[in-house]
Amino acid sequence: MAPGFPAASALIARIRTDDPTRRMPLGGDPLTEEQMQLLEAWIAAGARFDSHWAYEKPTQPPLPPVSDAGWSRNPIDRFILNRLDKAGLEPSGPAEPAVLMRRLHLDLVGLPPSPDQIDGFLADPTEAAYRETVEELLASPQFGEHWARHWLDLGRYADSNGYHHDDLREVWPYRDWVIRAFNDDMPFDRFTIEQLAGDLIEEPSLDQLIATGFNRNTPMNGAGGSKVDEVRNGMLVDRMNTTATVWLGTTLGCAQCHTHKYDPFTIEEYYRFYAYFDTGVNETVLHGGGNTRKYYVGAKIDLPIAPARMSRYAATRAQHEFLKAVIDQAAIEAIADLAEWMEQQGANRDLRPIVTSALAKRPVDRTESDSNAIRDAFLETRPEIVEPRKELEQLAERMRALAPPTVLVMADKRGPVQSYVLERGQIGSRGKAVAPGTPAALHALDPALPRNRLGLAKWIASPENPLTARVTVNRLWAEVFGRGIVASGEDFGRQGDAPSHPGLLDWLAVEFVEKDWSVKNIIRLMVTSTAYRQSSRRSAKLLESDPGNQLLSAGPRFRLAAEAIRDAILSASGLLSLKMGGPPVHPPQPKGLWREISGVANPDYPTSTGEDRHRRGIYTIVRRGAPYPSLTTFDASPREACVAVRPRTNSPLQALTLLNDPANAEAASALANLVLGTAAKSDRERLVYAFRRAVTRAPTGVELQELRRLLDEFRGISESEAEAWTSLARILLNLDETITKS
Amino acid sequence: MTGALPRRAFLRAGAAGLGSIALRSLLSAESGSAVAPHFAPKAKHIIFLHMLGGPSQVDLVDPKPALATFEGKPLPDSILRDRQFAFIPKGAGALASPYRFAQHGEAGTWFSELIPHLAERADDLTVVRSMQTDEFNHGAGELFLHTGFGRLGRPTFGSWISYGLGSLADSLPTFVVMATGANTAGNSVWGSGFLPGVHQGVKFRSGPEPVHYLSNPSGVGPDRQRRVVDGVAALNRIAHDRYEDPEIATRIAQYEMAFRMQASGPELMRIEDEPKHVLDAYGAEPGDTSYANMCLLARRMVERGVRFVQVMMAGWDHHTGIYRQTALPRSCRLMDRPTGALIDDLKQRGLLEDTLVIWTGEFGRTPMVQAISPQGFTQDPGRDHHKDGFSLILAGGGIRPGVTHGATDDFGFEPEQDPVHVHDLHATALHLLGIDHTKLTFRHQGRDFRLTDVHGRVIKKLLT
Repeated sequence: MAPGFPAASALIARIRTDDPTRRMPLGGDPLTEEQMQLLEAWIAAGARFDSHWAYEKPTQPPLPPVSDAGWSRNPIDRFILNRLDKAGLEPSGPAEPAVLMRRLHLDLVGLPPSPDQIDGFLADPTEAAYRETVEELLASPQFGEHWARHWLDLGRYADSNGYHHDDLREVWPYRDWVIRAFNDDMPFDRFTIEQLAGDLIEEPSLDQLIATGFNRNTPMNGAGGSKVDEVRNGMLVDRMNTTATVWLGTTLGCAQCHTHKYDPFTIEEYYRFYAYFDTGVNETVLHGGGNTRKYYVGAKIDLPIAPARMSRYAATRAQHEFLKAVIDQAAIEAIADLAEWMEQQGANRDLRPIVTSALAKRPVDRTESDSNAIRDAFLETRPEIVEPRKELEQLAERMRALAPPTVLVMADKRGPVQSYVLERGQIGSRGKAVAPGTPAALHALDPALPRNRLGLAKWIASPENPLTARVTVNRLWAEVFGRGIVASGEDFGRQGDAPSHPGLLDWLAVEFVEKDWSVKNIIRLMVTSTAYRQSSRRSAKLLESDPGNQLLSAGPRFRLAAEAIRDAILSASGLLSLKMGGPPVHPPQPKGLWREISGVANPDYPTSTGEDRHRRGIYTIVRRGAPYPSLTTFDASPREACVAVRPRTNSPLQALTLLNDPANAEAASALANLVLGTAAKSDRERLVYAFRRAVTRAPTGVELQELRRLLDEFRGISESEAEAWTSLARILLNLDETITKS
Repeated sequence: MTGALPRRAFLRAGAAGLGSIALRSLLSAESGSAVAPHFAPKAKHIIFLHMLGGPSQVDLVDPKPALATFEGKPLPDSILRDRQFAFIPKGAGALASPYRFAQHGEAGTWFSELIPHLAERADDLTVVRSMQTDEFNHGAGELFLHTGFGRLGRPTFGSWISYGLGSLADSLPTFVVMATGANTAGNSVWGSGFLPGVHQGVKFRSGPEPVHYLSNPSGVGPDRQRRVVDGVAALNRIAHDRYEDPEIATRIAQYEMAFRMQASGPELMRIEDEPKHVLDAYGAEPGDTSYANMCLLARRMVERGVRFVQVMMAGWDHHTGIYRQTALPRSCRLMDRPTGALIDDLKQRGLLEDTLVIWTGEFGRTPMVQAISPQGFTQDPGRDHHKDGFSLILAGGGIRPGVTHGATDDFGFEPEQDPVHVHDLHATALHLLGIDHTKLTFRHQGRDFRLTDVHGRVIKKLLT
């Protein structure tokens, strides 16, 4: 284009030509005369592009005027009410105290409150009491467990590699690190830098190394036939796309094969960004006869364990080594009898077919595995080998239980690494050599920063970055209000949704950076606003004039996340264990699911016992090849890739799960026992108590009448009070309101 | 009193557009919703028969006499160029098929002696000999076949169809999956990727509980369950009056659907209700987890309105066993009769015309031998994975029958004529369902994604 001169611009020539092989859009209908003139006028006027709003650093706008200053409790309310005023809508009235308490508990700690927890507030629902509850919940250890969940979706945290074999991996200390970071209100810039480059910080602490598990969470293809360099490229692409989505809200991934069509990112810039990750050590190696499998060889570290456990571990290991040497020696001595044994096996039908066929071969035709099969079969007949082997297995099991846990971490190769543009994204098509660097359309890269991941992390967490703060506050907003101010939370580019409240987004982003990147500060602002405390009842008029509640003309109402549904049901029934942290747990699931994983090396699901059956959903093992069905049915991510916005579906399989999953039947029975065990003696008191455990508020008259009718009905067909109440409890745990934040 | 209002009357009354019970209208606002067909469809259902591992095209439907003259010798460089294989070295010798081929039907379609039942139905079948895919490993290949992309994270074919067209059944899922064994990429080949989870395939298993949590909790009889479901509905209706949230109306309807599935699921699985001659035709035995049972179930599902049935048969990864009776020939025996019976059965019931049947692997196998032992020699030769040229079989649903489409070179290595890529298969199948593959899109991370990505052509020559 020649700005100012349409006639000299190739663009105009190409759209106006009569030659169909040259005319743009190629193969499409020509533009209309009107469209062409519009482009000409634009070029004549200088062909100016305005930079996209999200690539300009936010400034804090003045608070807008509102129709009712008394409604506003904090700046959030000014922006919300101003927008409602413009739309000619009125905000909704306040939510009733019990509904509000439930909403607040679910948003801050992810658990519904028990009746006793809120009775104090209900008796005296003042502003001061509300704020006191907010502070208590922000300080609760359950806060981090709730807020870590959305971050683990972004960081595609899982306890297995994914793909063929889907080997288990140990990276749960990273999950616990995220929980602690939210509980400690770690400043988000530090939170960012430690996850992206904790290993490159000078003398990193153990925690800073664990934090780099973020980018180790990438799935790993362990199939033997896949090529090591392709697997590595796939992992690097996942890391950089995830990093771009999580912090920049950009679809940089589009530039992997070609320059981005809508946003200002070239393919060269893509590979400059990629170069920051290209320095990582190799992580997979082929192994085994015929190269049938890959193993992880990237960095991992042992976590420190208590000295007493360490010495028991060392002692067990020594015993194991000693016994193994004893068995090996016994085997060598036994081999003297092997030839004689082989001669006697002609008619032995108990041998495995592989042994029989190996024995049938001439000695010169036997392969190594044939000989091994024969030798193993022989040794299995020798008591001096078989008995100590059992003991060896027990020792090995003890050793595994005592061994220090490990965690996967990031590490870079030593020495320089040269990266290249990969044309069309193909690893076989190396183009131009590139050095690490950041996209020119965003804020400048400080030349003083190191040219490695640490430099990248500091560039991302810089207050100059127009995106990080906006993208992050938007995500916190979406967790609380159900959708982001920018609804396409994963895309702030030109193809993303426009913000519903641009001023509010920028105000919050600046507030976030200025108040030391405090996540709790932003959450506190949201939950203490008047907008948050509105009733979520929506009249037909509101459904029509504010569909999707985009303008917040009512309080948020939406289904809970999968993990929160599990937690809410366990909590209502009194079964929930609040034990924190540690290795993932294995609550009961349908039999045999792990056996369905292809090439699986550990097919047995070790169902947890004791309180581990009833831990919070965040601790349930995430095996990518067979994720926990009751969670995925409610849209939990199988963690195959970064998920910025979880869908919220409503399906018959969800109904089947809540109705029939034995875990929920157990919860119903526990709730019934709880109700029958309370001091409450009248049916009415018991019904109210049970209802409140499920949905927090007390039942209305109509609801109570219905509950009584149902209780009578169940009494008519039950052999015991417990059976009747269990059926009633099943109903309560299946209510829409039980799995919803109202 | 609301609680006394009969359940069905409430549903008919349609508090929030619930007048129609078609699942399509039950998709909640947040589930993303269906798009109408773009033009009149030829097919309503798809039965997708996936032979896990990759069947050997040169031993089944693509005869290559030239392989015999090159037996044991490397293929010419002009054919191999710079190809990579999963396991075999480049210089691996050609392996001729040990099986006899003959032409069948009026169309004269070639089939080998391994699949006589399919051969007998030559005039109902269409063989595409010029298939290509991008991936030569099982996991990636399966993902590519079902999602058009070789890595995790994209929606599958069946889930796109659920999203695009919705359901035809009021008591069964839209997209059902059955498998005789494990596949490499796991659940992801019937997942919904970034589409809402409601569109994922529902896996039906053999045994007493074909779908997770389909049976009542232990000790709960049908009467009590009915009362529980009715009680939930009664209280949810009161909540609906309170919050006026359409999601509650949707949830009420989904509970109703779930309750119906509790009856219709087991009824569907009861193949013992079929007449003996039908069971015999398929070779189905009630209680088995066999491909034969799954073919019969696929027909029962289509009959009951399931849109997309995905059957995965394990046992086609013949790195060894091209000759061995218990390997390739056995897989063919287990597959051949039931597949033939399925075609006949669909045809007799008038279902074949609106059901597209697709039989394929995630890729094919090399015309060259794979010698697995470290010495480089084996008495049990096999073939390696092959992505550049393989074959598939189509039937029904608007496909021109009795056709052999496309051709590979003399060695069966790569298409020489009318290549058909997996993207083209998707585009063509969507076309038969009345969907323009370029218009079935979902916005995700700033891009309108399609099943066919930026590729795919409708293969007009295959259409009636």
